[in-house]
Amino acid sequence: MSRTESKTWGVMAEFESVDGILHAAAEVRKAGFTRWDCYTPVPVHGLDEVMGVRPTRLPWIILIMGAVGIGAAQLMQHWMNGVDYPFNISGKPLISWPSAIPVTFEMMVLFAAFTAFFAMWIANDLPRWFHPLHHKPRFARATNDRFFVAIEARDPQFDEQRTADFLRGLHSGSVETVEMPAGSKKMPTGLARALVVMSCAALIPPAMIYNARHEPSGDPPINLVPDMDDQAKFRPQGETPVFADGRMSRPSVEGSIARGELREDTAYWTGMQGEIFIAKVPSSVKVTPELIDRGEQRYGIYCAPCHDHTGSGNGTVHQAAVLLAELGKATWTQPTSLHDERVRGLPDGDIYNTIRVGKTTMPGYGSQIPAADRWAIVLYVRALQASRQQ
Amino acid sequence: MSDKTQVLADCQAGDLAPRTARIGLIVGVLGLVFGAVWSYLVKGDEESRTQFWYAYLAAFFWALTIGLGSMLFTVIMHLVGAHWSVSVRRLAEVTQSALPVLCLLGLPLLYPLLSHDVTVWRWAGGHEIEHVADAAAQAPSLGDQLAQDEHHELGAHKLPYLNVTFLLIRFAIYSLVWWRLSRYYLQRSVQQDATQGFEPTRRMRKWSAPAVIIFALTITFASFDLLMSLDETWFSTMFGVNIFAGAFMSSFAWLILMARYLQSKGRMTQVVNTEHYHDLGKMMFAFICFWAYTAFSQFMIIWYANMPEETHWFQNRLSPAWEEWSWLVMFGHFMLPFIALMSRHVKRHKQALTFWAGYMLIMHWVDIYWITMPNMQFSKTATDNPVGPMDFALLIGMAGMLVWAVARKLDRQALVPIGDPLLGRCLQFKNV
Repeated sequence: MSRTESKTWGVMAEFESVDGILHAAAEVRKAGFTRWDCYTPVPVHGLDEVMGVRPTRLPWIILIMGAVGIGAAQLMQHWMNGVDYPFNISGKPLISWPSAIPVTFEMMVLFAAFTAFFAMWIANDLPRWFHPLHHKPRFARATNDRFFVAIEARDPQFDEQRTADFLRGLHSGSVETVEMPAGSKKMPTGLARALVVMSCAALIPPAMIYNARHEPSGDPPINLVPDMDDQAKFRPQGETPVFADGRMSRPSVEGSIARGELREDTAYWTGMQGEIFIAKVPSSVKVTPELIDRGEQRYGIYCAPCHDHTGSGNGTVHQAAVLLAELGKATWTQPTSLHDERVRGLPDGDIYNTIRVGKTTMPGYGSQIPAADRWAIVLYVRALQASRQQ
Repeated sequence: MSDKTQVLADCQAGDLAPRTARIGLIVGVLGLVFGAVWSYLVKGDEESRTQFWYAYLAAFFWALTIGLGSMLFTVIMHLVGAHWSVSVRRLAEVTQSALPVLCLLGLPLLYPLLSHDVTVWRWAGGHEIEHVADAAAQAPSLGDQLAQDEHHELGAHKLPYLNVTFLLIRFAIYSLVWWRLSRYYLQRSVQQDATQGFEPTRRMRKWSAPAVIIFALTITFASFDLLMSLDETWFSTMFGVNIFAGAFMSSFAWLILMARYLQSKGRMTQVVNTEHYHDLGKMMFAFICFWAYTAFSQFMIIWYANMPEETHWFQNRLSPAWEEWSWLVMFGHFMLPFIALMSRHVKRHKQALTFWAGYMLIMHWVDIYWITMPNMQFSKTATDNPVGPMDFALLIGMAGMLVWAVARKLDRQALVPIGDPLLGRCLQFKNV
């Protein structure tokens, strides 16, 4: 640690009132000093103007960084959604600015706020470990009820004696010379060492986690709250010594039918009579205008995204998928047009079966659409086809 | 303030009020008459006559929202106990006292509501619904038939709410509530001019919270009833908030213009200074942003959900005839003033602030017009926008009527709440 000679940092003058500091600041500025500042316990209106403090440039920096945030957010989302990982969601456009606005807004605020925070630090020379004025006991009242002007020794006009006299001439309460205290401006060695040790210690947990990823361990997992993990119950596919075959899952008793699973009307449930698709909707389905309306509504939800509201097979999913296929990001077969001669000729039961289990690239919708709605959709598809009949 | 009497000497409108009112009335009558003559006599076809009533509705609602926004200004300032705004609060109080006259200016709208000559609200007159049902049966194509069927069904569904009788009852209630509230806040404040005590302020503060709730409900339902119901199949819960944001924003613009006008005529020169303009500008800026927030939220939710029963409203506004107007709303009502008013120097520069306040009042009309006019079904599916001299004449006419309605009340009391105990703090107020 190098010890330097005690030397003068500047001269400090104390004032008792707002008027005093305002008058003093005006005089100091008039005298042509450039390296000086005022220290007050409360914001003093008009002090900036009297001191000739330039308006801060911070707003411009924040404005520019906010604009950068807007641009970055738009570019990021366009690249992610449109280039890097294009994904077909109900045929929505891959790149569209309205959906990117909320994130753009957040990024603008984030960039602007961080810029404001850190630029403020840099502009104010923060973090600062040390200031010579803090070594003056009298200066403590700058946070309470006294106002101070301090002129620094590095000011070209500074002369210890003359500057002190000048300040005294401003009706100052007291004028003191501020020495640069003996000692180093550097961070205290103890603190520096502690920081190094703490930084190293902070690396230990991530290092342990990294290590655990490569070293398998035979130890049982540490379980702080075991209630959720160890429950007295049978799990599917589990083992048990209770039953002769050693399985937890039990097969259902021969001939039993779960509640609501009795499906005697096979034509209604499968669309087939024996091995043959039934030509018309089964008699158990009451064909009413309301049922066809229901079919239209369900068709709009489940079928229209691919097959289009007119049944042409040009739905929004298809349109977006074509774009993806052109980019080489997907393979795609166009959904069948429901006005196709082949589809027109299909028996009702076949269309029902296609809705239930799917066909070629179309997945089955049996788990999503109940049987009654499947027949309603069949009826509506027939209505769509009828609308195109010449 | 050293000499209060000297400061307050110029806080009377005097003969300026009747002179301004006379000019306003002349401009107002000329504008409205020009609009009526243009559409009924010069043009005369059914489309022009219908457009006249749509444009009248837009201009009327524009003036009404300025009055309502000013009333909210008064009430909110009491609610939060603000002192910065005391010196301009009387201007808002006078503006809100014009609300009964503004409500009466809505009376001509009874004509499209009751007559069968023009159709503005398609649900008006229950007979329309049956007409639609008949028309559906005779519709030329299946598509038309389905569209009319749907109209019929949704219209019939909302008939218990959307019918002329109930609308008139509701509007009578809104008008009475606004009249009562505006009167209460002006009278208490004027009373305080004489008594000087804190008691009136205390009472006005006590009522300010319920008043804000009543205001929110009435402006929301008034906008639902008059504007959103122009398309009875469409609905948006964000609609009322959006209208409120525009109304509150334009009340700040109106107060800036009003204070600037009075100061240019040598009134209240000592009590409204750069600090007050700066704050009015800040609030105007804030509500430009809030308006954009609500308008975009409404758009994005509907755009993203992509449900046919909601999207048609925006699809209509993005059609060739209205697309440019939609961009005008987005850039003119938000982006341009957002950038222009961001700097504090602009908000503290009186001429610049005056320009932007006037600009925002016009933009508020552009917004209301954009909400209103595309609902009209134009016979030609042409790509040209229907805006014409008649629309602007009605805007100018309604602005004149607004000036008249406000100015005729200006000289009945001081221009500043001279008895408000917070006035002193208001005058010493400074933005750091």
